[in-house]
Amino acid sequence: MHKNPFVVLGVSKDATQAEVQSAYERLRDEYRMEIHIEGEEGKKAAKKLSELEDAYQEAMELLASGAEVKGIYNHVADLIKRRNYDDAQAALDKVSDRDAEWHYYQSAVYHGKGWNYEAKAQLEMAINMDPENQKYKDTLERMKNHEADPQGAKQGAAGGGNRQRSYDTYEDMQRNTRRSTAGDCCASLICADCCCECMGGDLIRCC
Amino acid sequence: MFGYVLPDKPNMFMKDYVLFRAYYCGLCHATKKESGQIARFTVNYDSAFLSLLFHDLRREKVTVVEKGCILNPKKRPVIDRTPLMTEVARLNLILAGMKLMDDKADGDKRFWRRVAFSRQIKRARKRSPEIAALADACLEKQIKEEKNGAFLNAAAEPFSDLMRKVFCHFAGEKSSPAVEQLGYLLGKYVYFMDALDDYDVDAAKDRFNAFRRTFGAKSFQELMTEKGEDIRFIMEDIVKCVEDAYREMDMGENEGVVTNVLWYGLRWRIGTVLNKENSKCTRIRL
Repeated sequence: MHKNPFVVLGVSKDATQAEVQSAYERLRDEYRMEIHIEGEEGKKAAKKLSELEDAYQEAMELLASGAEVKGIYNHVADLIKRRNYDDAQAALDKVSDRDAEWHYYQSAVYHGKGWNYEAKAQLEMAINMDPENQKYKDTLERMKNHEADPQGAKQGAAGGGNRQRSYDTYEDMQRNTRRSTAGDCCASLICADCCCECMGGDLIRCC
Repeated sequence: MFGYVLPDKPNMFMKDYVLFRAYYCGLCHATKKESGQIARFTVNYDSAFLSLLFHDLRREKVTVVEKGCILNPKKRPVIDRTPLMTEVARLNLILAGMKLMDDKADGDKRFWRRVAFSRQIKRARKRSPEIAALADACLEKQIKEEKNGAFLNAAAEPFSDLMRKVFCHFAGEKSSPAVEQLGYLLGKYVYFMDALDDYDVDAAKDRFNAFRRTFGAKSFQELMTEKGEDIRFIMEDIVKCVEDAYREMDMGENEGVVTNVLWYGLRWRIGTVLNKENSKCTRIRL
């Protein structure tokens, strides 16, 4: 039966390589002492010792690959910063274990390329896999509201060129479009009343 | 492919409208000089907008002359022919040729359309070999993507990339990342609008359609009821990115028209396509 190497070593899954190493050495010395005991107990210790060797190998490999994946993400983040999206995509494609962080970086690559719909979908996947992560949620919120990345803030108008625009922005135009309201209605009635009074008539008796 | 980058006429200043029309007429006259009468049928608002934008980016000196034509016998201000205008006229013909080839690949039966313009298109391609090469590369990539069954943005990539390169080519030394980005986004916008507009036709004939491939709805109606929010997000997002890119650009005299098209025209056209309204000027806004 295959045992979890970290359980065999008696360390947590997030242990560093040094911790694994020291745990391994301690247990190894212990079992080596026991090996010399006669009878059943000695055999048990020998079995445990071989198990320990396997677990140690496996744990070290797992830690190494974990570090490698983390290294890839840092590499991808670096490439994204330099706007080299093709290489970033190629690096991501190589990762076979696709966790939430992977989807987050895939989303960043898509966003950089301007594929915002795909970026949103990837980010939603990341949030599905890791609903607690605030970083993902903040990014999704920003993407939905089309806000710029705070790190890549825009520079103000540079150079002497004309960046004035002669139309209102779309939002302002929409806001300024006149809609008739109750207030407008009253105002027109009062206005009409004044006109009538000038001509000798009356529209609103009380004023 | 054409008819999506339009000004929002009801919210346009008169001076901008007259200027835009002058460029439209100028392009039409230049097309006649370059490729003959028949080619004038290919002239459209999108190419007129491109011409106006490129003239502005390059700060090209233009002169306005009064000219009439058979459709408008009354004389109107028209932008006189410049080398750039002639080049845009060729670009327009090449793009029209691309559209015809694309239609043919999609199984369009109206062969006379290809026959009518074939000579003019061939000549335009010969005179602007760089653009013709770009267009061919784009068409080739597009066919490949369609065969691979590419999803949304991947399917739009060849055409967006073509427009980016075209903008880069025409803006010349005045090109900037913002200009290229604008070209890229407009290419994507046009591709998506075309796909949305042709959704039902493509579904009926079982042709490739980026949205159908991605969302799999049976008809446009179904697409809008089920995935309307996504579609609106996609289109709205492109417009916002266009605004971001345009903010970084230094404009000259033609700024008003460009602003009107990019800020109002695109949004209005998206509305007409998504709500299946008539895009002819039928709307009154108070």
